[in-house]
Amino acid sequence: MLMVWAAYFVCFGYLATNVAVAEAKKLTTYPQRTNDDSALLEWGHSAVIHAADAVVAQFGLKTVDQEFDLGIEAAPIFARPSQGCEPLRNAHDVTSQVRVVDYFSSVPRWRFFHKLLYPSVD
Amino acid sequence: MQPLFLLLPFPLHQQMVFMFRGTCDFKTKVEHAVAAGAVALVIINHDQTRPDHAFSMTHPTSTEGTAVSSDLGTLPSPEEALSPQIPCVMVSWNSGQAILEDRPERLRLYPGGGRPFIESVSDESPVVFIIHNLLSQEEIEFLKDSAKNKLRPSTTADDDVIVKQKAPERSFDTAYLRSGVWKGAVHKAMDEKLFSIINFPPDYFGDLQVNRFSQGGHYGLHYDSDRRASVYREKIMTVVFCLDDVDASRGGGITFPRGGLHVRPHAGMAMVYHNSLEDGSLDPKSSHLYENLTSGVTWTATLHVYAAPTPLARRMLVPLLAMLNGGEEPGWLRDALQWAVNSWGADKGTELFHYALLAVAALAVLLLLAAVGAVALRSQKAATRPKVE
Repeated sequence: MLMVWAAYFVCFGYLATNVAVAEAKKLTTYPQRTNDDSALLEWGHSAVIHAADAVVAQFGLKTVDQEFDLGIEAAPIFARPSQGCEPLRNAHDVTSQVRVVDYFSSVPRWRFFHKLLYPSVD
Repeated sequence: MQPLFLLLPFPLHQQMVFMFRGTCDFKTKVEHAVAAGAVALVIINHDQTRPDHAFSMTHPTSTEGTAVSSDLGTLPSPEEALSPQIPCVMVSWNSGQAILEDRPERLRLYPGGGRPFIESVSDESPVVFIIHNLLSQEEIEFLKDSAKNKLRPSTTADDDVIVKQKAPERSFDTAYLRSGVWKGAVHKAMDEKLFSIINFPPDYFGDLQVNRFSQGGHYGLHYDSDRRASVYREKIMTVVFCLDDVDASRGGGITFPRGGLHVRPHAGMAMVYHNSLEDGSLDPKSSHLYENLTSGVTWTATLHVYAAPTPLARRMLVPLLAMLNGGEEPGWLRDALQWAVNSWGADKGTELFHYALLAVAALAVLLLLAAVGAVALRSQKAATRPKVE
């Protein structure tokens, strides 16, 4: 009798464990990506163009933002340290310099209008 | 003298900073990139176990982030949210390595818009990925229009003639587009697009099978290929084109229970999965099912990619024979192939069968030419024979 009960408990335990495992296997639903988080990194020249899919983060500029929508072209630079967890040691190489050249203040104004009228004459 | 265009703001040194994922949170990475003056931040996913995987970074204070965009619980509060005024993107390990190897001088980053892009679902068994925006609306309409007059209920006879697996329960209508070498421009364009992504030429593609699921439609758990049986050509990959959007309330998704994956169809996307493992054996986790559709109608199209190219005889002659047989491959043809495989084995039998098919076709053409010649000769003789009064 004892053996029968022991067998019963072993079988019950085995089945219960398997059912629990089967139920615990949750399904992950896809697709998780949309057109809004899709971006393209492209490099190369007209003859050979390489491209890689990029996934846009949910922070920072979105693909609908004008600055992003127009596309960004830049030189790549690899952060030092490579995981970027400290201030970048090569930050001086990264600097984005935006320079506005004030043409009016750098040349006599008459030369500017002269150039507009006679573009071929320097 | 300075040129006139220098009147405009002109960025002289724009740099896109690359970093590897890991060790610290995304917020720290972004802050350091912005402080350094980067115009964009690209994070390379360091997960080499999923080398084609990248995800949308959602939580700037999380190292790992999360790929579930619908899980609003993981999003930071507005106070916590980081709003850098630069784009932040992630690329997969493989893409990152390609950029590191090429060392390009310039990179362009722009929104993908409606271009096709790949979402890696599972890099391990079962290997599954999704190609977004693969089909245009015109191609979707083409598939539906081509199939709608040929639809009939799917039966076990639609399974591969050689495969011996327990027939799964099913309830949907199906139609084969047996075009072979006689494909039209739209069909060829679809093939070329697929070829550019999965890297298998169209010769390796089987016939397109267009399926229509109505209310209550489903397809039980099954494998697409079973190498344990004597398959004459292994279906190494399956492409499922989704022709309609199906929201979750209607069911109708495609589930890989052993892989823990569920794919919800969106119009224009294609799901690609591998049926076999790297050693060629059947992937036990590739079994899948089409959930019961609770309302409405949805269409899919299935394309199998084989381990060997489809013989020319088959691509040329089967579409012609099918056209004479109402769009269906004649039963006697399948029986003959089965007999050849049983008699000479999978490889030899298939090869002999297709040689025989070519020989029969050549003989038929010769007989036709002979008959036309005989008729022409007879009519010429009749014309030149002197008339007897």
